[in-house]
Amino acid sequence: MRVRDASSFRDPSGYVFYEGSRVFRHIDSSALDSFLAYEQSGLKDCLESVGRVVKAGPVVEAGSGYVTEVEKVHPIVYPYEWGFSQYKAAALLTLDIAERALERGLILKDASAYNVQFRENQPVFIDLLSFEPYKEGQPWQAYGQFCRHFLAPLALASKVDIRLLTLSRQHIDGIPLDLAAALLPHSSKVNGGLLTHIHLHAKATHKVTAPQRNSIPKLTLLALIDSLRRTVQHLSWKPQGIWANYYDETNYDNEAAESKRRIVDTQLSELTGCATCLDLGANDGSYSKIARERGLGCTLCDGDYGALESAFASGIGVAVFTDLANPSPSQGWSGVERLSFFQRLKCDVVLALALLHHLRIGNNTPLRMIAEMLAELGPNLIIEFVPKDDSQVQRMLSSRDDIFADYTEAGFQEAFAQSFEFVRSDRISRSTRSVHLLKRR
Amino acid sequence: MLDLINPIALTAYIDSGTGSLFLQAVLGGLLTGGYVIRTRWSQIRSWLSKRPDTSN
Repeated sequence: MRVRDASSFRDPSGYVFYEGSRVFRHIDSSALDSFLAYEQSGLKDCLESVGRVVKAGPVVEAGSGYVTEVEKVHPIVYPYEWGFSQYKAAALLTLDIAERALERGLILKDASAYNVQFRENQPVFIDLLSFEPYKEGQPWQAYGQFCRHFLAPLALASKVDIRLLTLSRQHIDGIPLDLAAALLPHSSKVNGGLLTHIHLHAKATHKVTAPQRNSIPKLTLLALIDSLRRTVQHLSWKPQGIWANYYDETNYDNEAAESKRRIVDTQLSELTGCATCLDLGANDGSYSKIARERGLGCTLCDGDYGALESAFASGIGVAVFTDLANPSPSQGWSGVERLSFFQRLKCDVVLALALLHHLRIGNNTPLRMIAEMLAELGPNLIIEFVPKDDSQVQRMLSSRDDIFADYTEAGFQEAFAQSFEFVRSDRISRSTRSVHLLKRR
Repeated sequence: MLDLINPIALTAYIDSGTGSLFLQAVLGGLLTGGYVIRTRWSQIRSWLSKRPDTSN
């Protein structure tokens, strides 16, 4: 059955639809010439050969238009779930493609951040109908969109606070430039790129209302792209936060850490027919790496931007910023344009190592509700239980009343037994912690 | 009335924004100047580095 992608409605050139696990792009008759220009200009081969765009098959006539099958990317991760380096990589990819398109007589007609996804830590462009023949003198129509979708969030994260990356969740068509300009410090005006592309741009957006007819040479468009690239390249963010050094601060000694690795590997080896793994609280991806070595495609989730940088740099899988207490909802047009975390991130195996105490004690979530949430994400679960006598839990309880009478290994097993069947349990050497393999009932 | 509307903007499915178009036109010259100098400078450096060594 054909299912049209709920977010694919703005561009009249075509839309994405699914048939089972396959992905197709419908091309409207009016846009066929543009798509053929993308193929015939050599841009398609050029970008596909370096993995910069999803691959597209032959174009076939289908009813009122044309259809091409495109390479599937999994999982779909939205810009408000990216870390700083991911955002930056996506921005630079978009500019790189815009430049290459111009060099081949095409222009990138939009610059939406949603047109970029990730394969491990490599950004890939997914909107193959974003190209059209360049007409001499035309401006870059996507300039404003690029600044709202990429430059504004990166500048705010770099110059104000990394947590402002989630502002894109509220502003799904990019952060308004007047808002970005108001939030940025005055010192950002010293940066020529930010002065031009954010501050002056914001003023021009509000003050210039007369139609603009100026012809703009191609060289100017290349200069504009070059200026944006240099501005993005100079934006930086240094990971901070306790999670950036989590493994240095943990109470494991080397033997316990090695024991935990062996247990996770053994439990993964008992699973058959699994292809995908979702690591919740992945940190630097140390345990995702074991799943990866067993051939699983990994998604590394973390709620700390410092940890996310490590996860992204590891290249083990796709990094996703996730606050499990408030994961991305379904939102946008009719509330379904952008799908929720739970609709997109389902997998075969969930890793929840050193996570449970954060949800139970850190967020007051009852164990039964945590079990139900994890069961929704996948049929297999590898979960670590960290008892109350563990120094990490003691630290969490040091500034609050212990209202968690059920937080014992027996209480954990009783609560999770409603959603899962316990397959095996292993105790970590030289530690009171244990790791459990569970199958969803 | 249609004549008042930029014919290029009519082909775009996203709103280019008059401010964005204005900025491209106004600042384009400055950016282009810097871009050309930088591009040529790298060409000069490249040319210099390829000159045969005549010190011997």
